[in-house]
Amino acid sequence: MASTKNTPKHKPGKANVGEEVLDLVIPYIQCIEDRNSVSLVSRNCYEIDGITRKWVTVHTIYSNPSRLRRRFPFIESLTLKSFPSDFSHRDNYVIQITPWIEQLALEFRCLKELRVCGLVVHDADLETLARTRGKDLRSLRISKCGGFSSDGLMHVSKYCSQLKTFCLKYCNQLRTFCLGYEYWINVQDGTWLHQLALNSTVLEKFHFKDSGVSDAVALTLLAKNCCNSLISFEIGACCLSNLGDAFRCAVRLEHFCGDNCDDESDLVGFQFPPNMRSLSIKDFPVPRYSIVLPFLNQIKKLKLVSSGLRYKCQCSLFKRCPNLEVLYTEDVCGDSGLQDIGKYCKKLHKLTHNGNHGLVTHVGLIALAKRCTKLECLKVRLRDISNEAIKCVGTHLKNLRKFRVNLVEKDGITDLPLDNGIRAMLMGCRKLETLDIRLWHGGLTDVGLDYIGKYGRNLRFLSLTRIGKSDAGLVKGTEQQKIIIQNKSGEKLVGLLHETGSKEIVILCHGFQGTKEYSMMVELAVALENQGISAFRFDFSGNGESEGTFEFGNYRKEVSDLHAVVQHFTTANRVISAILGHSKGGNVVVLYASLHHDIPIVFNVSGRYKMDRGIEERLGKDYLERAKKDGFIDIKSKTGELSFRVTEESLLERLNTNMHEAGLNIDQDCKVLTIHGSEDEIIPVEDGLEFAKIIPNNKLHIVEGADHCYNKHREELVSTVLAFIKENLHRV
Amino acid sequence: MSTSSSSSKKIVLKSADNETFEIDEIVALESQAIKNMIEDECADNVIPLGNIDSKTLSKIIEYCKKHAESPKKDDNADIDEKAVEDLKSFDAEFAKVDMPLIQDILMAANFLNIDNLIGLMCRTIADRIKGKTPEEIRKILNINKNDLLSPEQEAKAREENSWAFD
Repeated sequence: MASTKNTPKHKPGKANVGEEVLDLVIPYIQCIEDRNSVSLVSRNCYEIDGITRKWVTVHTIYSNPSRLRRRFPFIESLTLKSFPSDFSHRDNYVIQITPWIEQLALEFRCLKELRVCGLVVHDADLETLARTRGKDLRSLRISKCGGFSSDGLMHVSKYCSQLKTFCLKYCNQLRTFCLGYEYWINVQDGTWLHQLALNSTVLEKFHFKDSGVSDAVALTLLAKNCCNSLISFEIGACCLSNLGDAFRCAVRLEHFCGDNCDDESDLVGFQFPPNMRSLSIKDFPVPRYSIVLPFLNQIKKLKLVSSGLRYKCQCSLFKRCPNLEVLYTEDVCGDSGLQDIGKYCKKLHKLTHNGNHGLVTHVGLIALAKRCTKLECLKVRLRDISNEAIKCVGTHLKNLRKFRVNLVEKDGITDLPLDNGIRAMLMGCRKLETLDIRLWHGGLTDVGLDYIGKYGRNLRFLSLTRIGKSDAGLVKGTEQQKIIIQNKSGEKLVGLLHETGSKEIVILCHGFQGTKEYSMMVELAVALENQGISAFRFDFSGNGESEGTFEFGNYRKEVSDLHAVVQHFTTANRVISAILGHSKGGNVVVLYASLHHDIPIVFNVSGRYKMDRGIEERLGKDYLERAKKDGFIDIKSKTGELSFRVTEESLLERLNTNMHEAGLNIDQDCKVLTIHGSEDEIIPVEDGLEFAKIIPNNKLHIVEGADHCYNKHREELVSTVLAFIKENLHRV
Repeated sequence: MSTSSSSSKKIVLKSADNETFEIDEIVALESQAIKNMIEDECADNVIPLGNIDSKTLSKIIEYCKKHAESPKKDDNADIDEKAVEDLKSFDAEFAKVDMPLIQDILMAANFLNIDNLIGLMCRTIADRIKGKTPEEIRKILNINKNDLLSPEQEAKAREENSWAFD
């Protein structure tokens, strides 16, 4: 698996041990999310990850072949996917594999495994692939694809003699319907199969179930030539009695899947190989098949599909399979069947109960959940359901990763909605990744959807059918959390937390007459969130949704508002790693830092240094005299309505606020980034330069050409903030 | 010279902080690097390991001792399961140390070329950075930020990661 040979050996004295360590560790990281995370740690990690990444799934609509080659040149295992299956029906747009195959043929010399899903694959593509990569190819799996024929497979048979896995799945007309009839495949001509049988000696997995592969002579030849390798065998409708020789040869065979078409009388002397562990035979005539009886004790996987109206009681089989781990059943016994499964198949990991004619209910589900506690995947069709049953799943199935519940009956369900059950289940099944619920209207309300948003944060796949009243519930669970914090005066401050789960939070402070919804605040919060850093934007008292009266020069009040916010999060055991303020908010954060000394990073975006400037523009000439005379100045909007009142007190507070002194009082170890636009029309860029002179640990960033609101320079503002955060976040 | 009752040959290792460790040769042979030195006869009585401190070295010796004592897979095709289990739980206990020491052990094991130990430490670290963000990984491994991707490079990498998500 992992090799350490290509990585550099330890050089004593090199400073960054952590990175060298990671070089060694990267090949051991199997989980793709972790790989992705590591790739962003540093430039070196990005490169090491790129050249050591062995397997990649590419969603072909988002990428192109040359990009893949540039990032991951030494891929060994590649999966190419098309649209998610539900989307491809929408229009007739199909994706051709040709450009990918051309690139694979030129580059990707390490390629050993290829999986293709939902693309159009032509015979010529298969030929190119087989001729160039064929001799090294160990695995070729094609599913839900169209466009090729027996001729294409012939090339694979000819050139890919080292194939261990060769699978063609869901390429029948039903599954590739969306590709259009011109792409329907035809592999009926069995010459390719004969060729494959002749050339192969190491084939382990041969899955051609729904492609009509049933030529007993060729299959027997294949089994003979691969007798020491063949482990898994899936074929179309071919009588078992004709495959007697094949099974005698394939001594290592463990899995067989086929459409049976025999009566028992034809099977005299027939024997499965000794290692059979997994069986899937359509319309399995349970009690009569003496040929499988000796194996039932060792069977781990059983798929019991029925066709037409031949549904049967399969309970007698469950009782004989104590080691069953995976079961697909269409049993007709309803709850008693499910109870039997619970009673006898305690090792079950995966259960799909798809009974159409023996629907189970919450009663059976409870019995099952209590006993099959190892279940990781559970898919059931139910006739009736209850909150208690769903809750029970949460209580007992702690290993559950996938859960699908399909309520078939529309009427007569008494215990709806299932909101509380779903909540209990999500709280109990911590490992759940996939949730697929198909109910009828009223099955879950918006409250239940809200629970899914709240408690289903680990979910990676969510499918909801006929559920809820509106999108509101789900939206609520995924949007920012509204947080209300009381300030010192007892007023409620309202803010929105962009939660990423990070311990660190950045607090964003809007400017004069602004709110938390000001586009700059929103953009910054979202950008931080995208970087995995939680951000909190809030309204100062008297602004936006927060309580209190709007004031002109209440710098100290706003500093104390900010203090209340900081304290709120500190008490919640979060770390405030930075505060950012724009315009008046810039003054607030600088003043805050000069008083409290508990924030390591401060962003002063276009804050004002000379406090006596910029007032006349807003209040008119001789404002101080007028304010002294009346005690206030009323500012009216263009339509003549009172916009806000400036009291003498607040005016004096502004004039007496000494930014120079504040700047000097900021600690040396508080890193301040002062950002200012060179074309600021409200607060001239000189103010930024002045801050830079006095703040002990200040970095100045002038955004060339930017106005006060960075209307045309938002990107530079955001990236400057992010870069500074990244540079300094954890050094403090 | 040897005070031990065993008659086996002894090897002396000297750490960076000048502490000496006398160990059985069989224990030292767990290290492919030392093995090569001995085979090439370029090992003196004392092998100086100038980049491994005594704390790390004593842990490594602890590991090598245990593994040297345990039956090897290729010696004996059917070694009893108990021995395997025993070694497994030893490894698990062994890895329960803080991150700086794990890193030191890994770098030293890499230098000494002790395959099993490299694997064990790498798996341990991989485990500890599971589910973590790039920033958290930097923090855990104490990686400095001299070599960060530029914002544009990072955006590109993130995009690529998103199409390579499973």
